[in-house]
Amino acid sequence: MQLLKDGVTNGSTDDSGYKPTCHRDVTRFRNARSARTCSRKRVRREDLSKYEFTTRVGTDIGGTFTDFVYLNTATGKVTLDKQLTTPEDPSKAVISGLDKQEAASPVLQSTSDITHGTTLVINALIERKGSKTALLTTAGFEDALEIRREVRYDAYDLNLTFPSPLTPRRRRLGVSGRVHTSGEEIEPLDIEATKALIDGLIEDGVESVAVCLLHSYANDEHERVIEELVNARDSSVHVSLSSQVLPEVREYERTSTTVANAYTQPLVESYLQRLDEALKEREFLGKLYVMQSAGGVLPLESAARFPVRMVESGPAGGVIAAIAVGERLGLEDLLAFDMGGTTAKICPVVAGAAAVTHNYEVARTAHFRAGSGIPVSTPVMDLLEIGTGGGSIAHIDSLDLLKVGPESAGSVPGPAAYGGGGDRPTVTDADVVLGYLDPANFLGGEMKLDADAAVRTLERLGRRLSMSAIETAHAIREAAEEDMAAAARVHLAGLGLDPTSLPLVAYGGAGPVHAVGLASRLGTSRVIVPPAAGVSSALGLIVAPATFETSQTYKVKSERIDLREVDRLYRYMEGFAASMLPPLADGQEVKFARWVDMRYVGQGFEVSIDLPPNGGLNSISTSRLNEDFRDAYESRFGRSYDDVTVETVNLRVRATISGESQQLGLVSLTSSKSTMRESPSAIRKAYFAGYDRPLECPVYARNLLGPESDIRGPAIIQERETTTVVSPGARAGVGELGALVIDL
Amino acid sequence: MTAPLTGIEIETHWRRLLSVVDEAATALVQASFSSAIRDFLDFACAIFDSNGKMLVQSTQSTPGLMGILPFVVPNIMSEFPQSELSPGDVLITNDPWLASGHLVDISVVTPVFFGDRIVAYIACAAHALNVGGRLATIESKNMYEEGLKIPVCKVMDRGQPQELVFEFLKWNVWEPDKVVGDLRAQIAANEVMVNGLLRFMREGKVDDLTPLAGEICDRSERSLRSAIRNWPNGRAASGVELSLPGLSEPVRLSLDLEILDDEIVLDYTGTADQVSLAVNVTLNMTRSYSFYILKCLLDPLVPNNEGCLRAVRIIAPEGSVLNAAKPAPTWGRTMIAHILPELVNESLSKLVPGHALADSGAAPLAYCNFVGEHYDGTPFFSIISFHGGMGASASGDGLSCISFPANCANIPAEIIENEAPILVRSKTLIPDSGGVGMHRGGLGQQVQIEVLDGTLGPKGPILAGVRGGRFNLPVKGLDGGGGSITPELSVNGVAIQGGRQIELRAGDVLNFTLPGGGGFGEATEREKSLVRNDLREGVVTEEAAEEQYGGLAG
Repeated sequence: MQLLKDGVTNGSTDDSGYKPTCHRDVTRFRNARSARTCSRKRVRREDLSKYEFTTRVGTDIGGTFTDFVYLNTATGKVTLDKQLTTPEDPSKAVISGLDKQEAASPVLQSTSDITHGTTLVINALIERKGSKTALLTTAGFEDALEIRREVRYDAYDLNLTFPSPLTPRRRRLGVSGRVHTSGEEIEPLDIEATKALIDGLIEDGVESVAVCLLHSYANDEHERVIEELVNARDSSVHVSLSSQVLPEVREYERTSTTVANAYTQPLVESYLQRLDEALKEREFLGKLYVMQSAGGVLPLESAARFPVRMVESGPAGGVIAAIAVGERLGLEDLLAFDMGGTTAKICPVVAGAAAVTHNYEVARTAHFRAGSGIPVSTPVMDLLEIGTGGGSIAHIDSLDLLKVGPESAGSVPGPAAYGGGGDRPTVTDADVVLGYLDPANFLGGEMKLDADAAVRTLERLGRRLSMSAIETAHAIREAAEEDMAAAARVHLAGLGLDPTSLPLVAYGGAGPVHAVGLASRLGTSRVIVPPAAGVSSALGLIVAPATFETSQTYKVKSERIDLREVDRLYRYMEGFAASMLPPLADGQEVKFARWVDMRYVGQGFEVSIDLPPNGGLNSISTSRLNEDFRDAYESRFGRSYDDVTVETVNLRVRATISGESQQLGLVSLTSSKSTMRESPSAIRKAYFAGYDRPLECPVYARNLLGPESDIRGPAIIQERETTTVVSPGARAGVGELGALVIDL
Repeated sequence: MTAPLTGIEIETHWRRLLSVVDEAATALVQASFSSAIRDFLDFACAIFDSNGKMLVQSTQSTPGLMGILPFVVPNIMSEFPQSELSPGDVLITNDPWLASGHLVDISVVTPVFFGDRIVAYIACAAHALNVGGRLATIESKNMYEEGLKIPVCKVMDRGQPQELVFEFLKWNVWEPDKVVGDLRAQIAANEVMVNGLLRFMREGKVDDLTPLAGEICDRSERSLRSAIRNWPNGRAASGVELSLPGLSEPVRLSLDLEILDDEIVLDYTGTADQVSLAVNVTLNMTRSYSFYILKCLLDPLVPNNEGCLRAVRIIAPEGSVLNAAKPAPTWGRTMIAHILPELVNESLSKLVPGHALADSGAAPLAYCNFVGEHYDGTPFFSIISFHGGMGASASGDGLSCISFPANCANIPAEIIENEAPILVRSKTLIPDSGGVGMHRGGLGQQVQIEVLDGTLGPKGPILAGVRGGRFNLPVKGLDGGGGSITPELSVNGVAIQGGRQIELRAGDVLNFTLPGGGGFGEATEREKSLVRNDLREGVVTEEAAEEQYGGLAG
C-alpha cells in the first residue's frame, strides 16, 4: 500500500469572490454521434468563452437513492437533492434529477462540470451483466483464471466457493510466442494462428477481447500486435491490453483485472455516451467527469477505456468529502468512518491523502473474506469493509455468546423497528431501545419507528442469556462496536498506523450514532461529523481533482538500477497518464508525482519512496535511494537491515491537474447561520454503558446549532439523515463548514 | 477475588485478542524474507495464559499447526521454568517433538511480564526456508542428516540478541539472509503480540488471563462436544497402504474411529513402525491433521484454542510412523500426515453418511526446490508448489487445483521465472481428471517446467528436489463416485520417482500431471445441465459424458 496525496487543494479563504471560467472541449467518442443530437441547436465551441460557468454539480448513484449536490461557485451556496435510483438505466435518475433542478432554477447552461459517481461497474461485475468477452493469453495459461492462487480463503470451510471466471473456458484461448521476464523475446508471436483465433471469436459474436500475455509489463509488443489484428478484423470490437490496464507482475491478478475491464467496457462506454448525449440535448456545455476508485476524477473518454478504475466510485467520494472537511478543520490525518444499513467502511487518511491499495477484489463469495473475490488490482482507496451496519442481525452462537452480523435484515424486511415484518433483532433496534434514535423523528419524521417491536425482539433474544431488553441492547451495541474496532485495529496495523492518533470523521446513516463508541474503543479522542453527512459521496465528487495514476513493473536490484532508463520509463508513463486527463483550462497545469515501490530482496512487502520530478533524477544516486528506503522502512517497522540487498518493484506516477479552477469553493453548508446558544428541543431517556439507570438526555436539532454551541454529554443531536450520540463525558461544538466536533 | 466475566466481556475480550494475533500475522508476512511464510502461509501466531493454555490463534494459520501449537508453550515451560525467565527474553527451538514436528519449523516463544509476574506466553511458529542438511529430499535416514537442531534456548536475553545463536544459524543454512530475516520477523511478530496484549490488559483492567482462558476454552469444548452428540455412536475402521520411493515394503496406516456420545477416539494402533526415510510423523503432527478434518466437519466457526481439542482423543503407538521417536527423520512428514484426513473421512463415511469428503489430488502437497546459479553466477533458491483437485462431497463439486489439507498459495509463474532460470511452459487443467459422480471432483493440473538455455539459462545444472505429490496412491471417490487419473512425474518424458534430488540441465522439461479429486455419488445421478456445462467448458470430454455420465439425454 502507499499513501496517495490526492491533492485536494485548500479551500479559498475568500469563497465569495471565486468565479472560475472554464473553456470546454467537445467530447468525442469513437463511435459516431447520433444524427438526432447533431441536428439540435448547439453552441459552437468558439462561442464558449462568452459563457460564465458558476455551477458545479456532483451526482452519486447509490443503491436506493441518487444524490445531487449543486454548488454555486459565485455565492458558495450548496443545494442538496435526492432521487430514487433507476436500476434498469441509472442515467434516467440522473437526468430526471437534473431536469427537476432545471425546472426550479436553470443551472445546466452555467454548469462547468458534472462529476459522476456510479455503481454501474461494480454492479455489472456482481450481477454478471457485462459483455460477451474473450481472453487471448499465452498458450499454457488459458486456465489461470480458474487455477487462481490455489489457496483456500477459509481454512475450516470445506464447502467454500469462488466466483466463476467472467469469461468461460471456451472463450479463453492461448497464442504461442514467449517473452522473458527481462523483456527479451524468446519465441515470436504466431500471427497467422492468432488471426485464425480472432476470426473464430468474432464469428462467435464476441464484443470485447482481453489480451494478457506473460511478462507483457516488460515488453508489450505482442499485445499491441494482437490489438492491431483485432482492430483490423473488426474495429467495433473492444480491446483491453493488460500492459495498459495493469502493467504489473503476477499473471493471475493481471489477467483477472484485464478481463474485468474488457467485460465492463462496452457497457460503460454506451452508458456514458447516453448520459453525455442527454446532457448535450439539454444545452449542457460543460464537461462530464467520472469518479475513480482512488479518488481523482477522469474525463469520460478515459473512464470508458478503463472502467475497472471506477469500481469504488461512490465510496471514494465519501472519503474525499471527509478529507475536504478535515482539511478545513486543520486535520491532515484522520479515519473516515462510514456506517450504513448493511456494512461499515473505514479508510485511513494520512497527510491529507487517502490510503490506496492495489489489492482489491470484487464479487466476493464469502462476505468480507479476502481471497474469495475477483481481483481487480487497479488503485482503489483502501476502504476496509466490515459486516456491521444498522441492519446487521444479532444472534447467539454455539458458544452462548452474542454475535452481530454479517447477516443483515437489509431494507426489506429491515430491522424490527421498521415495522416491515422484520422480527430478528438488529443494531438499529438496539439503538431505538437505548433511546438513541427517536421513533417519531426518523428520516425527519417521514418514517415512524415501532419501538415496541424493537423491545419485543430484543427481549426474545435476551431471554436465552437471561438478559433484559436493555442489557441485550447494550450487548448488541458493544459487540457491533468491538467488531468494527477489532477490524480497524488489524487494518491500521497492517498500514503501520496507530488508531489513537486518528480522529474519526463519521458519516452515513449509522456512523454518527456509533462514532463516539468506536472512537473510545480505538483510543482516539476526537470525532468529526461533517455537514450533509447523508450525501457525503456526492459532496466529495465536486471537490476531487482530475488525476490519473499508472504504474510499470521495474524489478531490479538497487546496485543495477539504470536511472536513465528509469527516467525514460517515467516520461513514457507521464505522457500516457497526461493523455488520460481532460484538456487544460486557463491557469491549469498537469503536475506529476513519481514514486517507486522498493523492498528488501526476498520480502513481499513494498515501501513507497518519493522521487524528484522530471529532470530531478540526475540529482539523486542509487545509494541515496537505498538510504531513503532504509529510512522509510525503519519508520514503518522500527528496524532496518544494512546487510540485505534492496530492489525496486514498481515505478508509479500520478498526473494531476492543478490550478485555479480546482480550488474548493465550499462555504458553509449549514442551513442556518445561527450564532445563538443552543437550547435542547426535547429531553429523552437514554441508556449508556456504565450507568444502571437511564439518563435524562437533552436532544438538539443540528440545524439550530452554531459556532457558539458547547454541548456536554450525554446529549443527542438529530438531523434528517442521521443522529449523533454524545456520551457522558464527551463535549460537542460546531466547527468550520458547520461540522460537529466532539471531544472525548 | 474479581467478579466473573459477563458474556459481553468474554465476547469483546475474545474479539480483541483475535485482533492482536491477526495484527501479528500481518506483521509477520510483511516483515518476512522468504516465500515460505509469504506465499506458503506456513505459520501461526498464538497467545497463551500463564499456565500455558492457548486462548487464540491467528485466523491465517496453517492447518498443520493446529494440533501442535497448544502444546508448544506447555512443552517449553517444562524445559524452561518461569524462574529462569526475565522480561525481554525470547526463546526458540526447532525440536520436532517439543514443537512442530520437523526441524524446518522454528518456534519463537516470548514470556509476557506484567509488572514482575508472567501473565502470558506468546508463540509464533513458522516454516524456515531451510535449516541446512539435505535439500528437499526424503532420503535422510535419521534427523542428523536433516540439518541444524536448535535446543530450547534464549535468542534474546533481557532484550539483547544472542549473537552466537544467530551465528550458528547463519553458518548452517542456504540463503542465511532470508532464514535469519524470517527469524527476525517472527521475533517482531511476537513484539506486536506482547504490545497488543499489554495494551488490552491495561485498557480493559485485566490483570489475569486465566479466567478468560477458562471461559474461551470451556465454551469451545462444549460447542464441539454438542456437535459430536449430533452424530450417532459407532465405531469404524479404515486403512491404507502407502508405497513410498525407497522403501521395499508399503507403509500401513490403520485407524479405528469411535464416536462415543460427546467424544471421538482416533486409535491408530496397527500402523507401521517408523521408517528410515524422512516421512515420519510426530504425535503432535498426527494430532494436527486428524483433528483438522474433524473441526472442519463439526465446528468450523469457532476460532481454534486449547479447548477445541479436548473432545478428541488420539492414540498412536510409540515408535510407529505416526508417533515416531527420536532420532527419526521427519522432513517430508506431510507425505503421510496429509493422508490422515482421508482415513478419518473413510471411517466417518461408514458412520455418518453424507458428511465426509472424497479423496483429494492435492494430498500430499507437491513441493519442489530449485537450487543453482544464474548464467552470471548469482545463486538462486526457489520454492514451487502446486496442487491437484479437491474431492467432492454431499454438498457439491470439488474445487479444481486447490491446496488441501494444507493451505499454501502457489507462486505465480512470472515470479518463478523472475527468480530462477526456468520457463513455466504450461499450467493447465486436465479434462476428465475430476472423479465422476453426482458431484464431480475438482480438476487436477498439468505443469511443465523447462530449463532455459544460453545466457537466460543456468550456469551448470540445477539441483531439483521434488517432494510429495499424489504419485503413489490412487484418488478414490465416495458413495459410488469415481476416482481420478493416474498421475505422472517425468523428465523429458521419462518417468522418475519423487522424493529425491535430481539434476536438470538446459532444455530439460520436468512434467507434473497432478490428479483431481474423487467424485461423490453415482455419476448417472448428476444433473444433465451440469454435465452439459462441463462438456461445453471442456472439463469433461464427450467420451466421458457418454460413457460415465450416461449421456446428455434426460
